Amino acid sequence: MSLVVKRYIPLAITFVMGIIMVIATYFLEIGSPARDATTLLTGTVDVIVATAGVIGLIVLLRHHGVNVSRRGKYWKYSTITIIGVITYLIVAVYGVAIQGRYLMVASEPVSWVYNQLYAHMDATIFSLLAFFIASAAYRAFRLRSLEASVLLLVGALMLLGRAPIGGVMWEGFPNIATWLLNVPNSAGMRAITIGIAIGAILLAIRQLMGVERGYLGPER
Amino acid sequence: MSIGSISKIDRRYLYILLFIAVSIPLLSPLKLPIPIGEHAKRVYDLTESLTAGDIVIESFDFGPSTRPENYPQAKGHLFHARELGLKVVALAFWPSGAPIGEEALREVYGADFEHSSEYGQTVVYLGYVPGNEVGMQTFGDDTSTAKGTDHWGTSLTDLPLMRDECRSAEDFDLWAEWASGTPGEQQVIQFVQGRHGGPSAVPIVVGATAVSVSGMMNFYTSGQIYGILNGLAGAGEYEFMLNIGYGYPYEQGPSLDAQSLGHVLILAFIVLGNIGYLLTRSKGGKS
Repeated sequence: MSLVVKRYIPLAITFVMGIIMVIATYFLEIGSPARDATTLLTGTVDVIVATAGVIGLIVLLRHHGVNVSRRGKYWKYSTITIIGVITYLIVAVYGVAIQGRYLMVASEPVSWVYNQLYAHMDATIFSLLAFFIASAAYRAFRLRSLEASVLLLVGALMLLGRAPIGGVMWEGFPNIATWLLNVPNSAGMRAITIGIAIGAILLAIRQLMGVERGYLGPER
Repeated sequence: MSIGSISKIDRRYLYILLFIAVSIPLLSPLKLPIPIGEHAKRVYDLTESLTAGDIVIESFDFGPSTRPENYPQAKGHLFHARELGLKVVALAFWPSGAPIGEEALREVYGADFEHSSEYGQTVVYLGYVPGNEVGMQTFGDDTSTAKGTDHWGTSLTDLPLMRDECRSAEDFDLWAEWASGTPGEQQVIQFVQGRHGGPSAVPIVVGATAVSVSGMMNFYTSGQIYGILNGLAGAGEYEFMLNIGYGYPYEQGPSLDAQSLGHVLILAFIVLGNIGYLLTRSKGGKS
């Protein structure tokens, strides 16, 4: 594939689309025909997402299929992944076929898989966090230094302040927890958020100008 | 048992103790009183300040993993909105949130609500809206462009609430975001509120997992988020206020009792670990 197709056309598309959205966001009146036209443009993301979903399915099946055929690392898990994906796909298509529903997500077979399998597995994995956190807190929260001691104290105050038992012990605990969230935590998060935002703006400018090309894949 | 072993207890014993501590209040609730915090109170007060007919967006952007925290928050708020006569447009920018949103609406509006007379007039369920933050932006700019049909394939032009009243973010009186990740509250602020007049034009209240609330407090203190239901405790606080105001069942008591005992046990673990650590260090040993 020529360099024009692989590099220059995607860069040109990125530049043109980016500039259109910048102009629409900062210079066009809400409700104006030009701005409405850009809304239509963002609506096409649905088409891109749907296409990417199909491509993702193919890539996933190919990746795990190769791993199984070569008996690569964790190939048994790859087998389970392939079976899971294909089974769910069949269930979804079957759901549409028997119910003629507009959306697969609303069909009964898909809902059954979601409610009886996915929901329980997802909740189980997430709830294991409670046990890991308890064990980690026991091992990690140590009075090793001043910073670690402050972390421990704040963690303990939050644990007591964000559960009803803290208020039963002393009514000041919930207020302290709220203050910790509102003031020192908020100040720290604001600094991080502003830093990230400035970084994102710089990255966007670099992408628009064609300086940052990582999203196009490796240059060969 | 040596002194050093206090700080080296096998994690499996900790797991068993935590399991017991969490199970006891679920079987036999302690009925601890729940203090109402300012974050939840602001969600309640803002919703109360709306007038009948105002439009509320209820966005179910979470999956089954955080359901114990997010679901009671969202269900309580839906109930509140219905009691106040608010018009509800519910949707999900997470595919895994769509079935949960449908379930919550069925619990509050009735099992067959999509065939009731109020459907399309005072409540609409759009289901999954694709596109993540771009989907949010499109929905804020023009609701019909983001998705042309409701959850069951009915065209939005056949639903009077969507056709005549809820056309863009200019028509939203409140956005209730039930979130546990991306897209979530930050994307609503960035792509809907920020583009359509700021916090006074599109006020946002958020129900979030406790672990993610610290990351959104800067938006709360700046006023971009008006109020927050903070995890399970926030859901309990909201249910308690609804219980006083409208007789809504307060169901989170046992869960919050379990959370209380879990927190106390973790504190006990931390104290125990530090006792072992300090004793070992005072004797010149390695920890």
